[in-house]
Amino acid sequence: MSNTIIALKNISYKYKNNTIALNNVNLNIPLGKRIALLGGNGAGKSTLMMLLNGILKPTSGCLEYQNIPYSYKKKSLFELRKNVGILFHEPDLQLIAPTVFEEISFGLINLGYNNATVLSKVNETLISFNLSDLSHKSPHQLSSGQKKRVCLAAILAMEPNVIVCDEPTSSLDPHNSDIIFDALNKLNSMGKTIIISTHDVNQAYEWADFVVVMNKGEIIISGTPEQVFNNNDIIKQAGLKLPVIVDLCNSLGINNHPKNINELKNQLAFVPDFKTELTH
Amino acid sequence: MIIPEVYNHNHKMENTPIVLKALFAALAIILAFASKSVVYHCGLFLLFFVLNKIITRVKIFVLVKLYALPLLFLLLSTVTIVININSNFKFHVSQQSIQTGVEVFCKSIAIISIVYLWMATNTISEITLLMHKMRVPGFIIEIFVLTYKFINALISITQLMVIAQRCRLAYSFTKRNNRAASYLFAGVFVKSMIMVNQTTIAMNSRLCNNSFVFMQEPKNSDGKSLLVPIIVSPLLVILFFVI
Repeated sequence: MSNTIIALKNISYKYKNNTIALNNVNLNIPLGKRIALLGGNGAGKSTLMMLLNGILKPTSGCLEYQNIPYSYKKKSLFELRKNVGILFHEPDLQLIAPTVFEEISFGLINLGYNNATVLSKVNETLISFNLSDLSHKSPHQLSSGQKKRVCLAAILAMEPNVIVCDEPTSSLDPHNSDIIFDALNKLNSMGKTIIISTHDVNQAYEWADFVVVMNKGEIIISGTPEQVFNNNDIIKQAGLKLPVIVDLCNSLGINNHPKNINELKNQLAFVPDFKTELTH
Repeated sequence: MIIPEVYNHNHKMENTPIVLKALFAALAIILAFASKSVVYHCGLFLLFFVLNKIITRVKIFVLVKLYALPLLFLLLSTVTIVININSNFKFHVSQQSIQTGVEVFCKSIAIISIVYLWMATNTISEITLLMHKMRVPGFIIEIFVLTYKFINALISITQLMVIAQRCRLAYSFTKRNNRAASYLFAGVFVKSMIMVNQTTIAMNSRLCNNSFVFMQEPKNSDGKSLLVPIIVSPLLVILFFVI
């Protein structure tokens, strides 16, 4: 069985105003992994994400879902969108129904489930996202964090195999950000492939299994976070910075980069001077 | 436009079946159209105004604001009916024109009251569901939903843009007001079009096939939820024949 769930082969995309958003992109998206798409503004991340869901059709090249080329006929797009769900950056654009309950039911009804199944799936989703108390409220009356949770819940209720999230935690406080990432991690542990776009290198370094860095419509590097963030020049070229932990470790001469702050503390605990400092 | 302010999702007809609410409103509108009695129309207006206040639980100020715009249009229209121009190009008011103007005015405010109660007790998805049941063509339902979304987008974008303009001292000088307003109209229009376009994309990504069907939360329609239509409907019919 192939380890690639979606393959992009020589993909280029040009907008109607002749802006080249993607230029000859080749990428194999690994199955069941957590993938972070990094890049500055205008790097082409959002365009690439919309190509994955079949919203945009590439100007040239082809995409494959589980080795089957994308087709842009109505029936094929329906099948594709069943498998690839997308969470948009701006929750207000995604919310259409008058209540949270109905918002979550929207995609499920479109999937063709019967009423009993829709009802049970909506209730399950409301419970797992801690939205039961808000079920009768209008999505437009909610806070940004709650709106984002509703949007994600509405997508996840449809149980896609690949979940594409365009900056899922932008404009969220740390608590709501953690809720979103907990939900994504839970899905990943169930074998779902999660793709997020972000500017946050720290988050990408800590969270992702696979990192893709884009600049000016091209992929300039991809690989594990360790492989990607060892290339300071390429990271700078993309208009990004090294994660704080990597930068700190480089300054301290630590070659084996820890994944997060706790691992860093553990590593530093073995250094005699730091051990004394940390115990204080 | 102020309906979202009035609609509070916990009104007293929340558990009333959608079809019953629609039939109740339809009966009241038919009776309002059929009746020629000004007293009956005024009674309908008052009754539905009170029902609006009690059922939607909104503040009286918000309700008055809701009525203000249509009443303004109605008053202007009634004035054009009442005042006539004779063959000598002079304005004059006749007994007949006053009577017609008052009848049209009273009938219209009665119907507005009924429609407001219906709108304030139905969500957009309930109206959509009703349209599906009435076998309204899909494209009309799509236009209806997107128009609603477009109006919402227009209002929210206008509010944000006016704040942003005021922060940069727009509308402080009378001479430059027109310029600021023209920028506002252009900006709001472009932004709203983009928003609606993106909303359509977001809906398509969730397999929307232009049917716009949502599932309502299960409701317990008890006797209490049927009370208003069951009591008020016969009353309206009786008064129609009595007055």
